[in-house]
Amino acid sequence: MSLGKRLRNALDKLQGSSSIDKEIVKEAVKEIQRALIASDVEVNLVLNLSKKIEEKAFEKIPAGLSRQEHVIKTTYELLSQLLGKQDSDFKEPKKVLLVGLFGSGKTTSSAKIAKWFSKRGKKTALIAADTHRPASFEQLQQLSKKVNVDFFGNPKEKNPEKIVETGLKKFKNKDLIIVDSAGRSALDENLTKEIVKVKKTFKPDAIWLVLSADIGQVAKKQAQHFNKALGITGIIITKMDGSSKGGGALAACAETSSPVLFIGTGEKPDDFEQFDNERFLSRIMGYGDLQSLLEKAKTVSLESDLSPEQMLQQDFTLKSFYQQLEASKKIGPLDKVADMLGLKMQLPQEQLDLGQEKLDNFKVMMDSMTKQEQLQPDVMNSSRINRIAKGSGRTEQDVRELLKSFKQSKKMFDQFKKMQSSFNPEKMSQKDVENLMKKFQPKKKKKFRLR
Amino acid sequence: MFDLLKNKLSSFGKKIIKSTEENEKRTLSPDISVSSKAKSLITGEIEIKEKDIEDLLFEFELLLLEADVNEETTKKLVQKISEKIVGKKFARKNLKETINKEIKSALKELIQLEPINLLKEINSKKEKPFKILFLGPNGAGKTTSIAKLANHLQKQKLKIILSASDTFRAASIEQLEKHSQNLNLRLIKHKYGSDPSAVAFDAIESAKASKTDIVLIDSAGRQETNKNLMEELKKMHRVIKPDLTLFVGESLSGKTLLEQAKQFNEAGTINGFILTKIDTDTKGGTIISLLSELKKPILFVGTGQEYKDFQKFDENFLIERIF
Repeated sequence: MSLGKRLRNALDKLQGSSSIDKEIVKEAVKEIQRALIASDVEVNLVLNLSKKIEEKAFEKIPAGLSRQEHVIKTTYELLSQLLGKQDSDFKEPKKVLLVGLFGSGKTTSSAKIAKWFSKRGKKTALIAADTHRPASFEQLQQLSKKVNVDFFGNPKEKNPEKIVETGLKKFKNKDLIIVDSAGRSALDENLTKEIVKVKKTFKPDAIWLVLSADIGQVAKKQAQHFNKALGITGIIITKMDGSSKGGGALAACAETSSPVLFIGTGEKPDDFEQFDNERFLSRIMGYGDLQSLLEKAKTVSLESDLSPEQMLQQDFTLKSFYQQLEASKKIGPLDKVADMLGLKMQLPQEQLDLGQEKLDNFKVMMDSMTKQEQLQPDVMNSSRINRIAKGSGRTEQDVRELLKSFKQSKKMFDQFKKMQSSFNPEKMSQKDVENLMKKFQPKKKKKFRLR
Repeated sequence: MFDLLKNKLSSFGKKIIKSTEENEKRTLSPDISVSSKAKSLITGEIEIKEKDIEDLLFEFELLLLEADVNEETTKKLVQKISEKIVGKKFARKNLKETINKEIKSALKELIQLEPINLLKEINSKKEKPFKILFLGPNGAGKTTSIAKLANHLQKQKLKIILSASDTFRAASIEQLEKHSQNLNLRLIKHKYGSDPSAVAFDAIESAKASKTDIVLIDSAGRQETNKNLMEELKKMHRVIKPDLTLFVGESLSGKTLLEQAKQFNEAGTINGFILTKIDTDTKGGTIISLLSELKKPILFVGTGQEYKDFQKFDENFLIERIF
């Protein structure tokens, strides 16, 4: 069960209790504690938090809110505070040093950061200062080619300071230099000494701690030691596409009192997002993240003809399905879109897992359709299916599968459309969210036949 | 290592005794249990009552969660311990030791497993090579663990070939190549982006031809939520038919590790685990939940950066350190 659902369940216990019932509140708070600790949030943070929630629950409730809503709001605000204050105008760094544990994703992240900034017009360069792990030089070299930024490293040099020194000279005219350091446990004295020296040479204005989303209760101690040795100014959470939602990283924020800046959401250089704590919270609490989706869709629509607003106004035809497939290459697969809407669990898995290969197949088949077929899929019959199959060199079964997929998407799309006018996650009440979720519950298989 | 569990477990025993004794004193005066109290003094026994330690058990539950034990396991362990002590009478003498012993045996029951004897498995296979597939999430330390295991097996005079089947991550092939040079091992590789199963297939064929004992097969790190990559893993299982599949996970990843392992297990049966980065002050709970939920042994733990930082694991590794 997701954290959000558990928190809601816990808070449900408060529902209907207009008078103050100590036992009920205590039960709910206990459940919140369990849910948070089970999501890897650090214990002291949880205890502080739950104490405050308990206090709030007994407070006089502002007019117009139910006790439950009041507590939800409080929980949300408290969690939001934990995540650190967001700099609305993101300070642009000139020299970034990346540090972190082994295998947290520093090297991959450094390439992603480089791409993120160079896309925004910064002249960016990467320096490989991991002299421990075999082939780390080659890894960053290959990645820097992929993201098209300048790179410096020296696989023969064992002293990271010297590499940084030479790199600094080489990249004097750059707007941004990113140094990727070796993975280390902050409890290892020698390795810590090494990174402190690198810091002295490099003189970074930003030191970012890279943490994996699945980190457990160790996060606190590691963050504490990294912070003591170096002074952490920001946090990057990687592997957010896994099962974990990054509860462990909260402790690191509290410990270093620095905000989460970016999250890594996949293995490709573009799978990287600027972090927004309110959105993140609405995502882990399960209230959806429409804003983030629309924003992403907007940048994509600049590149393609697809505008989500426009799409929602038209009828959904095979043609728009085609456009959607095209665009989904850029937005990311459907499951990410659904995740942003907080609906991931509610959609049929098969619908989310359309492989790239299949999508390509779909397009080939759609190219074999007439305009009329594309715009009015209802005209489809078996002789047309036969023709499309022959024309595209696929089997009839393939074509039927495409039509089935289309129908599913259409259904989903109609739902989006219906709720678009009313969808405002912040203003939604508990009931609305539940109703919405129900709508997306996969129905028992209803076979439809094509004539 | 595991300091938190160690400290808190011993104070848990103390607290149980304290709370029980306090309640005993309270109930002593005008109560019906006077006779039982007198009896208990004479027999030198004390009974632990549920209401005396109710709050302590909840505290203990949070402690386990704090130590990265997952919820299911936490519930099971608390249940087991309360079965062992609640309503039971214990001798006053050495009460603390007795209670600690009960907790220890509850834990042991939960995590004890039939170990895998790797050397025996390898030697008992008639047709060479013995194929070991390594899989796990990104950055868990698969490649490093392969090198460490290769180093370990080499010392047993076994011949080894490495298969560079992570064809996705930048420089993964070079990384394994450097290890193979350091350890003087043969390595089979293809280009980046090629089919990982094909690389493994070639490595196995080459091992057959050269009468090599073991093939160690790397794979790209993946997130268990990525359906396509999990399909790729299924294919690897079909093509390679590994004799042993080892899941490499970070001991410091909290409750997620269990979920990851479960998903990977669905793509192809996992036989055992290697847990890495155990030197980073991990809480130990990950180990407990892994063993108790999946009932699959941990073969080795990674304890540092050098090849030698690799230890065999059995449940005593954990139990000795926390009691």
